[in-house]
Amino acid sequence: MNQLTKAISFLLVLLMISCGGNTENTQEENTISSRDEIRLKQYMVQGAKIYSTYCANCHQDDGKGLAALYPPLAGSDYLMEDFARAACIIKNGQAKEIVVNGVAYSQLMPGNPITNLEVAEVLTYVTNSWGNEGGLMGVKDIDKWIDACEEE
Amino acid sequence: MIRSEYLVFAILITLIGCTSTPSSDKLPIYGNKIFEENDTIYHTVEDFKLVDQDSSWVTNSTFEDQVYVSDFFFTSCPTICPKMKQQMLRVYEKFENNDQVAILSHTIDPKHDTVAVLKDFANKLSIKSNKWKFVTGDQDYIYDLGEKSYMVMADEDPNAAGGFIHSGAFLLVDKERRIRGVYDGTIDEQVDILLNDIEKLLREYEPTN
Repeated sequence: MNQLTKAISFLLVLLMISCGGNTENTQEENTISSRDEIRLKQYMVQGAKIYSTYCANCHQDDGKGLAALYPPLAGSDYLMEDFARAACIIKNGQAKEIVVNGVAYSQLMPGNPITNLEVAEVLTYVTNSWGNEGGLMGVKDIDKWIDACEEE
Repeated sequence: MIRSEYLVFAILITLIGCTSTPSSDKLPIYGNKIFEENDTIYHTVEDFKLVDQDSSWVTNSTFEDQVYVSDFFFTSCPTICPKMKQQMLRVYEKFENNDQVAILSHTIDPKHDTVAVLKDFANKLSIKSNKWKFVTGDQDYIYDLGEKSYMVMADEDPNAAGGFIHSGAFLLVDKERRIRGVYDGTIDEQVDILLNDIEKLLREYEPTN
């Protein structure tokens, strides 16, 4: 009996997922997605300001980095493959060598004196600019990720 | 009547305002001048001796018959230096094939920026060392050189990001070692002016017909 319920709910979930692309969303889903859209826009605006203050000197306004000194964020495999890791690096900096799009970078990155909300905003900005499409980075996720950061 | 006086005043102000961009093709000469008999002695960069990224000595004679752009930075600088290096790359790229132009970047953090660190930094920027020299030396000596010769400030400051406080200035030095231009090396538009001024300065050395 229990297994049957599980199977049915699994099927239901599958059905919901497969219908996700459908325009016939429920009222509730519409509200959530439009709320996220508005938040994404807010985060992009705030994130752009934070980016120009703390990040653009090295990573440049166009996110392309500088030669083999500072890695690119635009089209960066390293950034886009692990958002939690990216949040930790934004907050705490990075001292070890990393490989971005096949190139090794070893220049020290300092941590940034910003709140988790600001990390969410700037991470949203860099993962959704210059062709990157990472979607909204919610502050609840950031809280979780920052708490779980490895010690330097 | 009063109105026309105002007009004259306004024109005067405009004229005064324009003197900072003289219509002549010559760049200004910066620093104190000493007038001696019929001669004017201008401020010049004093004799110096530093080591570059290839462990070679760099002195004034390294830049003989060259104009050069000078700045002060450090490789681990998290604030304005990356922007300065990005802008200096514009100077490098524009005059890469012009033997009359060179670049001299002084580290203000010699304890960290050894020859090997500077070499690595230069390699990562993919630059040729005969055109763009990164130099190190005694810290006090470099600060002194910055202050007295290039009229820029650099100092250790544990409260500043990266531990140093310094100016983001680019200085244009002519073949007589005189300072002919001071630019903010973190601002695109200022470096546009510098690129233009280098050409203007080089024209001074072209034989007149």
